[in-house]
Amino acid sequence: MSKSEKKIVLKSLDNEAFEVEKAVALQSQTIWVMCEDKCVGNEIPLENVTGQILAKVIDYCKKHAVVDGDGDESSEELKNWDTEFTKNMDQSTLFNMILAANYLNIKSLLNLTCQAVADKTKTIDEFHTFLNIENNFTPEEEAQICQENLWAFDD
Amino acid sequence: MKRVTTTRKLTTGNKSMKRDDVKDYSLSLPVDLIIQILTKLPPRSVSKLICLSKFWSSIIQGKHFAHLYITRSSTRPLLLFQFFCRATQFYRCSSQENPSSDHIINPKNIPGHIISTPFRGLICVRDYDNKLLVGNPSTGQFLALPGGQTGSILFGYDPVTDLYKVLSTSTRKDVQHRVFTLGAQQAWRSIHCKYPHYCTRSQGICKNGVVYYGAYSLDDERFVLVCFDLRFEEFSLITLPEGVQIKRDDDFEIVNYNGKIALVDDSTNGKFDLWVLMDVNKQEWTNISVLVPCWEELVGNTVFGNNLKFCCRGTISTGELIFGPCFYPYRYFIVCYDPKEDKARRYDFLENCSVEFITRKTIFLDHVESPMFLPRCLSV
Repeated sequence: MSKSEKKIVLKSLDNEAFEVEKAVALQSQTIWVMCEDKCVGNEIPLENVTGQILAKVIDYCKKHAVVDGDGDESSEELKNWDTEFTKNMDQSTLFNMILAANYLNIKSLLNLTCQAVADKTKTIDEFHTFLNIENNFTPEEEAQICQENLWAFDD
Repeated sequence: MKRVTTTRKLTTGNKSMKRDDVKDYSLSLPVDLIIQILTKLPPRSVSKLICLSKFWSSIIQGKHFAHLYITRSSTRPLLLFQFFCRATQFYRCSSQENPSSDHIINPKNIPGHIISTPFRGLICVRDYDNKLLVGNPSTGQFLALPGGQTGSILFGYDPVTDLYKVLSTSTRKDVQHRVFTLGAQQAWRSIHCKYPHYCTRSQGICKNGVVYYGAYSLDDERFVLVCFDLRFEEFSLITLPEGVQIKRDDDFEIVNYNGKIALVDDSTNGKFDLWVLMDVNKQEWTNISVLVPCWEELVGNTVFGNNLKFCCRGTISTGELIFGPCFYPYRYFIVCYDPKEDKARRYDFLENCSVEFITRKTIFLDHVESPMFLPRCLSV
């Protein structure tokens, strides 16, 4: 395999191009299928992902391509790296990362980013605002649900 | 189902990033991805979302969500410890992979003592008023079953019909069997059994929709293993291996051995004899002898010296066998033995607790966390 075949170019929605090792990009099942089907050349257009988000996805894939398969110590280190990776992401970035991980079909990244949202969302109010879910219960209905399910709220 | 916020508007990079300080209500995730997020919450947090919105309330109470959650949590099974401390019980839970990371379960979450092996996140308990309850220790929701069933209680789940059932068998000789189906009815149903028997061991085990328990067959006048098919509600009897009798609770334990039903006697010296049921239909048993290496070094420093009896609780997904002391140790620990590597490890618990009053304890393997809401038609 020549050097150029080992590399692949990912192109974002806003036309940012990223040259990455094939092994890094192939963690995405979506890209893997595209390459397998030979339906694309060496440049893969990713129409659902912005350059800013794609850069982060590539960071994640690079980290995981290098360390995967090593001993316990590196899996611990990888876990810490994952925690740091999502720690300071705001809601908008996290949501876009979830959408990108889902579109690119990178299971571990989808798990990581979904877990990060779950960890950041504690109260009912946070669920309403953070996940943008409108409470359509009337105060009376809500009171009745709480009354019927006291076990869920008695702490 | 209405008012679902499923609009998928991808913000394009930089522009929206700069508006972070302003709450961006245009950005929301599709329903399936929000479901993925919710399956990563602790079960107790999921319960509280019952008043999130009408749509999400129905999602989290639905079977699909519970299945998804349990599929995920089954990959991280737990050890559930029940301790009897004078008149009360307390519970601890720990990861099966790493037993040393354990935590105490809020006593409110289990309002009595567990009387059947947990299955798929649910347990049967008898409370301090001797009432029979079925509940979810991960969320703390418990519902009382009608009537004061006093016999042995066995509990299981049939994956084909997706139903949890409770079987009440009498321990007396005037045997009666009754079944309670969770969510489908309000009362116990009497069922006919072609093979008169009474249960001799209070704990059975459920596997693939069949509950197995030790019993005495009145027709044959011998001890047997009973299989109760939860779907068809039919009993069948399995002949025990030569020399094996399940007369009472401290006889042979019925355990899971790498996916098969096995009987195992207690031991004081680290040598355990297992009888594995290789073929249920042919009733073929195979004897396997397990000798845990360095047993004395592992368990030797107890006040009971070499006389402390150990029970085997079966195998976990890694193939490791789990052993625990049967009675009254001055401190509580388990031994994990890996037959492939021929290596055993000891894990100690309760380092920060006073354990001098512990009189009895039980370990349950493969407990899974579940957010499942119990069907409400039960009378409380």
